[in-house]
Amino acid sequence: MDRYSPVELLELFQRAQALFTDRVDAVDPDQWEEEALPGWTVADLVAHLVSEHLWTPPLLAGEPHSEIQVPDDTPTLLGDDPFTGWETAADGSLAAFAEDDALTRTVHLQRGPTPATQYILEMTSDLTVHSWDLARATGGDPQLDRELVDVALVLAEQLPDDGVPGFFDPPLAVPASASPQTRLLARFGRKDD
Amino acid sequence: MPDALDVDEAVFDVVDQIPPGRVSSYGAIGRLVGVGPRRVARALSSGGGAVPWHRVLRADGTAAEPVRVRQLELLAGEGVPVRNGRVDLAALGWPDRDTDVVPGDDAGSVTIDHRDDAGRGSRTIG
Repeated sequence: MDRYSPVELLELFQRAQALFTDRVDAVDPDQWEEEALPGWTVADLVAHLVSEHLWTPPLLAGEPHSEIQVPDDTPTLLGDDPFTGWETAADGSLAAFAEDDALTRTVHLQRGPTPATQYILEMTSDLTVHSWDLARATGGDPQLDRELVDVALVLAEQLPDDGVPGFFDPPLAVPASASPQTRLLARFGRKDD
Repeated sequence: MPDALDVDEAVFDVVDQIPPGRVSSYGAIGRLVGVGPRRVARALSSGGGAVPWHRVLRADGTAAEPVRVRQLELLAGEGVPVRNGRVDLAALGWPDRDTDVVPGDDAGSVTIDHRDDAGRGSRTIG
């Protein structure tokens, strides 16, 4: 992943976190139970991101996937205040990626050893696409940062054509002339409406 | 429920204890006070002029954009090494997890109002 320097990767990740944080901050108290994705409430979606970011410090510390313990239920992940729960997890993952040699390391994901540069790129893409999901579910700002869209498109191009069952929906067909954001969302099975 | 000024004061009390040459993060200060990073940033941007606000950075050791140039100048003036626009929080972060005394027990009980409930139901994918 030589396309971005470590400093750029970190800066993009930090911006993607801020994008998602803005949208968590905009959730109304009565919107947490609304559907965000099939089978997921808004609370489940935010909890999913909290969980992913709680995984980051132990993964970057070299712990194997099978030995890391992170809660997997929404109420525990969000705690009393979903916004603070998210910010705390985001703060921890950003600090872990910012350690001096963090992006030279290898993390041991479920699918196997993965360079930290690839891992941060996937986390950045994930934040970007889920920011759109959260905004769409809560009537928030669906416009994504163009540079983050470009980053996520780099990753999206690596996805298999029929999606990854349980993780990424199969892509939707869009005209080649569609905007980068529309193409990105379609690549993840989402319609930019 | 504490009012907004109590949170501001608690933030200022903690930030005031960061020694010259050391830095902290919005999240670390927030954990000591019992609020999130953004709440800390808001307190400092709206009234932190009397405390060493410049010693508080983002979790990745970068400075927030609106104050970046001034903040890095002030830190450099205190002998804090800045590389690629970033301070090494792992090396210079305050408080040290193990040795520094966690300041101000009186600041530790502040909470902000919660955003309703955290939701229920289990996740089905991912």
